[in-house]
Amino acid sequence: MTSNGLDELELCSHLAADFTGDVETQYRRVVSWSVARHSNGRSLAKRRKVAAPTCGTCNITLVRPFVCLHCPYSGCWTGSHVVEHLKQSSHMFCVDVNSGAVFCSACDDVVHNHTLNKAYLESHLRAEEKRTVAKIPREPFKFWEPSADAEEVSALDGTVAIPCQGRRGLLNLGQTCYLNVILQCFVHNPLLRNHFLGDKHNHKLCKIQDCACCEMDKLFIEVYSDDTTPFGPVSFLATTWRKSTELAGYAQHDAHEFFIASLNHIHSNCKGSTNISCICVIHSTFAGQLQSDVRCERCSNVTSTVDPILDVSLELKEKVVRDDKSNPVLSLGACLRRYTQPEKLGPKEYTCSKCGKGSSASKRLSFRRLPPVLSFQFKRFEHKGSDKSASAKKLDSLVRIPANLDMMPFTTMNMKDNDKENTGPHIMYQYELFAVINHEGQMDNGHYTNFARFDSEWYRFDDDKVTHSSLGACLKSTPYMCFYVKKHLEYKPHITPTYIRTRETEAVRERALEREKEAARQKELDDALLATV
Amino acid sequence: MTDVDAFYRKIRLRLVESGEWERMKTTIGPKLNESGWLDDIKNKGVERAGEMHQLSFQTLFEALSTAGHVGLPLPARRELQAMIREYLEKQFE
Repeated sequence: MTSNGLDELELCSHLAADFTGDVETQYRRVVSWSVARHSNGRSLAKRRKVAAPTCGTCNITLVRPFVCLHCPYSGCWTGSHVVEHLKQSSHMFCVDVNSGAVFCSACDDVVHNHTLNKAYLESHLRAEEKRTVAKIPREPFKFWEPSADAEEVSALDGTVAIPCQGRRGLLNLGQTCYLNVILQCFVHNPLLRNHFLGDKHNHKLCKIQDCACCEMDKLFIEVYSDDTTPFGPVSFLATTWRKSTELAGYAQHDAHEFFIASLNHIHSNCKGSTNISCICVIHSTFAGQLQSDVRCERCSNVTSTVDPILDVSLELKEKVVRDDKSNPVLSLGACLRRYTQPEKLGPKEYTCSKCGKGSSASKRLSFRRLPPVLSFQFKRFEHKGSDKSASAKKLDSLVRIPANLDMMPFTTMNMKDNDKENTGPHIMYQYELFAVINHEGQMDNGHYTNFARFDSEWYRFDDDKVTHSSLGACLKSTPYMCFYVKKHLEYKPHITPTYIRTRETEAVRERALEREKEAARQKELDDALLATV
Repeated sequence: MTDVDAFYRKIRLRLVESGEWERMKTTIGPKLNESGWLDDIKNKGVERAGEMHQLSFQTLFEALSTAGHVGLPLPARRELQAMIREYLEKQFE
């Protein structure tokens, strides 16, 4: 997402001046066409012919069409066919259908600006919305516009813009690197960031004791301030100790344990949080559903159970694949395949509810609902025996994680053949990596560091030391935990949360009751007066 | 235009029209991503762009195309070639 401020850096004046009217209309049309064209490889099972545009210069079937925005010409990029066309016809722009990238003939380069990005996103989204097949028509996305409300405008007029990087190191308060890495992953989580920066939990108005939401609010205020020196999350730590006594004390703790404890803590302090179908910020962000299907080998009866999950823990015992150079590498994809592969249950482990006898069965896990943020943990610590303090063995195997993850193959819908037609737009299953936690050393004397992304820039965090890094450096590190966020979010039309509606109806009822009481009191007074007469 | 050229064009047209081209892409794409090849190319692009005094798409495109072909993982290359071979055999049954 680019802000309007970046337009000052734009070098293509032609885009600013000429990307309007018919040119823009044609662009949007091309983007919509590309969405219609690439809807799931599966729909091509029906034997109809796909549109095959040909190059206006060399006549070959185009597999990566570049389309002129001023005339019906489309052509190859290779061999400069489309570039030559633009020069010869004095046409300014052409677009790469696959990516929406625009080439400017005058600048002789690919160009972009805020208007173009918005036009791409909007036409892509609208075309996708039209093509979504679902029981209820898909809610059209409303782009954010600055508020026109007079009160809000005047309130903003009185504010002072402060420079801030949105990035600060965290001081180690005594073996608290496990806390720092999780806090950095929270800070760089777009959904949590938007929630707390959107003032959804103002710690100055909250009356709860040891409130984790207040700690999050304070954390965001510190990070998004004009002070760039590292700060110590003292009150966050103190609150955590009071709420989760097992995490108290200056011994090294497991980052994942702290992660889960924090999620539960924040959830319990959110207004309107419930035990079933909770819509608090934690569940809205991290909650998914895992489906377990157990199939009896004898009678083919399938028992399905659905469990809520906040994250996914993956085993590292997978058979290692060797790459070209014979280096042993395990991938996230391989771990997920193992996680969702059918597992045999023996007759001693399973009794079928339908045919009643102990029989062999096969159990399979799949993702029924995917959360906006997917958190993975790699089980690197193997405890020997039940005694946790006994030195555990750490599995240091390298895991290759992708910057872009497609969860479609691991979903329940994908596993059941009959539902494959209505899986919805593929982009709904696609995620982007935004944070990785690393652990060096052994279980009891190790050190946590992390990588996190802001827009397209990667940074490395080592307690108070924050350095600019790269995706390459991040992917080369050994991940212990990693976080992905959906490329496109799902949303429902805005409805007032149940707890607010309940509160309002309660208030109305109380006022009605008050009026009745008052009327009754008045009547009593009148009757008493009459009696004296 | 040579005979090989004409033949290639004919096959390419059939692959695209039947949707086979797209199907092959969606089969190989995830494997290229999982092997780390895709992220490697992206990273090379970012690094190269950072070093360039004057940014130019065409320069980056040429450099990455070369690097991409050279670094293509062998299993993915073999699989794609096998798919193409299988398609051709079916066409001339």
